[in-house]
Amino acid sequence: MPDDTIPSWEDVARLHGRTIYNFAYRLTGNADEAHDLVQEVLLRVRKGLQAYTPGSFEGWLWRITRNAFLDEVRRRKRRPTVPLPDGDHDGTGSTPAPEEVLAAVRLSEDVQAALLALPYEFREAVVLCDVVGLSYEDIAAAADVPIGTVRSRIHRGRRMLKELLE
Amino acid sequence: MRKRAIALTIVAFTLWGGATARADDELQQYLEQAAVAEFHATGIVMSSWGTESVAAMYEITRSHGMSMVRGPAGDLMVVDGLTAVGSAEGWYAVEVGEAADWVLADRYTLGAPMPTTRLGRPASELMVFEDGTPRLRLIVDDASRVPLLTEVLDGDGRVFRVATLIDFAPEQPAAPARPQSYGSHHMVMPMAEYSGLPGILAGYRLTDTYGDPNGIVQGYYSDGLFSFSVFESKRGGTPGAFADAAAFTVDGSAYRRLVTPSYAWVQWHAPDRSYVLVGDLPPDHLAAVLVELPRPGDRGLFVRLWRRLFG
Amino acid sequence: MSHWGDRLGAYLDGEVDEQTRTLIAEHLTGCGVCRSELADISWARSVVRDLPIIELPPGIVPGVFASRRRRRRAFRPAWAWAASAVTAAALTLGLVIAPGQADSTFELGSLVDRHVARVVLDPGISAIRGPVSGP
Repeated sequence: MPDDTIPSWEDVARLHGRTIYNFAYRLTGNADEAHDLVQEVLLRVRKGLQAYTPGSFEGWLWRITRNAFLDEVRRRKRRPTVPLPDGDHDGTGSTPAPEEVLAAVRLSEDVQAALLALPYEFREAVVLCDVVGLSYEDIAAAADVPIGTVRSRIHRGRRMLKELLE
Repeated sequence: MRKRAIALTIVAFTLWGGATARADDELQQYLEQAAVAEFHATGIVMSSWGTESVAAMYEITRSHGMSMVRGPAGDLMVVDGLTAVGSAEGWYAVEVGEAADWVLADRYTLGAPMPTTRLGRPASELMVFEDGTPRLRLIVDDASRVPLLTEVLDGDGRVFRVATLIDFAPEQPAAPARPQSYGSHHMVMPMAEYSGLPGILAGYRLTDTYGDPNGIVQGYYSDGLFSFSVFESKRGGTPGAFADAAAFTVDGSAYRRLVTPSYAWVQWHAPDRSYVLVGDLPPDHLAAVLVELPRPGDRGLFVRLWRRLFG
Repeated sequence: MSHWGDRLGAYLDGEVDEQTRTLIAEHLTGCGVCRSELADISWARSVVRDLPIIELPPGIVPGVFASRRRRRRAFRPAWAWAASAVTAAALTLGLVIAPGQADSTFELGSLVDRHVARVVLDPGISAIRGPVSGP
């Protein structure tokens, strides 16, 4: 979206609703929380659009998203947690088929579980970069930290993921 | 066009600049107080447009934070901040996303009240003047400030609309039953930046602009007393309801018009846009507004002009 | 930690300037430690990027409209502005296009709704507007 336009509320809902949902889902592993977050963010965007001045729309939107997420976390008085492992997915009791062993493909649930094991700041940075697709600059704007911090968090987050998923 | 826009902006500033300071505070108070009154009433409204007259009866109940109006074609409630429309098939809801504050234009002033009685109740007769010329005659219930009689005058001083309550009970009535559920919920969403409609039209301020995915833009105009919406879209066909509508002329251009006791509906096609206007504004205001909007134009003419200019 | 630290990640994401990019690329040709690290983070990056995009469940966006907060003026009860607007409002229901007659551009019934829903939010002259008995 060009930085000199002010999108309409419907544009935002239509173009970004899914991404916001995925952001929340990948951060929490929880569909209900993701659902609530989308609604909250769209409401805040609706209110905020009146005062929005053209600039980095992505940064602005994701700052709202991140704040809505953290407000919700505070409201629920708990940190984003790893969901309890589902008995079906703990990997014991059934022999994987050879194809599955050979394909070095991880089930997305494994990746999700590994993401949830990361410290929050690392997870958020990785999700904003690799799920939402924001630039470092926009992530820095959203999280209100220097770019160097963003770079560091992403890098350390990825290294941890690699170790967890080995 | 640009000079005109500037001139209008200056007029606008005069009209609306410091509107809160200069607008008639007393009139504003009357309107606001009437708006919060609780009562039950039955009324009749009649309008005359040229030789056409229409009238209907309605029932209002306002109580416990809700308002319910029953009319010949169905019910309308305002409840929980949204508008609920009811019929035999059930209720659906319409909600507006954003609405700018209500402002009364400077051109309206209130004359001195004269004591009278109406429906056996102490009342006051009031004149509302528009730039010094009578525009409204009201008989207002002293206790609640609810107008028991309202006469709207056209530009020639003739009554063009009358609303009269035929019974009025200001004690808090029983609350109307809230709709149990809504079949559907429609949102009227504000548009960011749209410069297609003028900010001021014949003394009416563009208060809100709403848009929808189908490309119909709605400009909601108000002068604090009367209001109207202009709906603009890419040029299309004529809505069926206007097929038999009376044609009327303003400044040499032809429009189609439907009238109901409370509203006028006007439809026309400009060369590349189609318009519908709906509002409760008096006929002379309506004419003044239409003249400042894009005028009806034959599309063929537009195409021929274009070809002649550009080959 | 590798020689270029987290700038390897930035290099991977295309977040370094041209000069740095060239320097890192040159360095990688001769450094196994950094190549190994780059491979690790590259792998981690792609498994996250390969996560399936989850489609919005139905009802989320309409849910924003219908759920929670009611739009409300600060100092008035919901119906308070209704005044004449409501009167006229309900009573415009008469003006509805019969099925089949509606023009695709303008569905008059929905235009009624859009105007009326806004009108009810402002004070007006009480009882000035009346019912519509249809065209």
